[in-house]
Amino acid sequence: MIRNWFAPAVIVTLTLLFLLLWESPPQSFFNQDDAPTSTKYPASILINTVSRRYDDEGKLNSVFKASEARYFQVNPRRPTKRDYVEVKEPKLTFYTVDKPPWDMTARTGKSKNNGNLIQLKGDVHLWQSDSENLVSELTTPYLVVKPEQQYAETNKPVIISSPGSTTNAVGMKAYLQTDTIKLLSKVRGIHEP
Amino acid sequence: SDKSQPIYISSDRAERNEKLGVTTYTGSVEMNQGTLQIHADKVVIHSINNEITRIIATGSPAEYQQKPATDKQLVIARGNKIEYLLDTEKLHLTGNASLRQGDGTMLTGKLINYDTKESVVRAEGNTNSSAPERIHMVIPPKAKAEPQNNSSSSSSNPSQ
Repeated sequence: MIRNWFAPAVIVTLTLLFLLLWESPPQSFFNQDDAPTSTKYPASILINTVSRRYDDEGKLNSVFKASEARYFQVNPRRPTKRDYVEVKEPKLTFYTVDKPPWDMTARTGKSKNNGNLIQLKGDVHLWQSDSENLVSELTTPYLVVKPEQQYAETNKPVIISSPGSTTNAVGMKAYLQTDTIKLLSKVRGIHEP
Repeated sequence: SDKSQPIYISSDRAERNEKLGVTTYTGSVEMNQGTLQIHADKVVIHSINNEITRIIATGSPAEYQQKPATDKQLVIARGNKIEYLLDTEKLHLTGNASLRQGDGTMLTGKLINYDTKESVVRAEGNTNSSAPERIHMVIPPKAKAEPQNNSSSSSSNPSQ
């Protein structure tokens, strides 16, 4: 009756998204000589970027798409922790061995601090359809992810639904390592029998 | 039956631990499922394979209310802690426990176990010598059946 709130998979998906993002710009994009003088202009822009990642055995691990990815290098001479990446319409499909794939979309995303802080803005939507096409999903207008701490939070409304259960709240903190999700206020849950 | 109805829960905060299968609702918690109502400061729901097995409500007091069946009376239970076991449909009330039925029957004590299916109650007092707490039960008198008013009533009722 009460379905789980699938917090762990949510974070794993987001973590992968920005590991992908952060690794996508090979050093050649950060050409030291003619790097722009300020951060107003991105060091490099990728349009309609598609990145596929494979695991050690050559199996597809994830597919990341974005209509645009802009890499901003704060210090023209060398990459620093303050560099950041802005993406438009990020889409990620994340494959796991024993479960159906996870999908994630948002209107925009921004990754800072070497990918240790990720902000997803606008219709953040994560979902997973199982073999019987039953969908588990999380929607919120804004989500901050800290991959290294395996942690995500939002202070905005969040809706978590899975087969037979829907929970609304305002504010959420999700901790991957302890498999715990906290809903911070105005919690309303409906669970079908 | 209540079990076939959806569960509605509202609270100030909530926490779900996926590994343990435990969901904790805190702050003005209200839970409804058909005629079942729980009001408490905190409600902890234990589930196995996403099936609820146990509900523990705590408050000052926590309150549980249900009409176990259409032909049964409303039951109102209160206690500092109320544990509801869904598979056996049993209630365990501890601390300032009280159980009241629709007809006014009331039982109070330190601990009350109530089988909602069989409508069987078992209560315990507090045998602690320093502050003994006995069980108290109130059974309201059955309302006398009104005499049938035949054609004429011979005696007038002084009280009317």
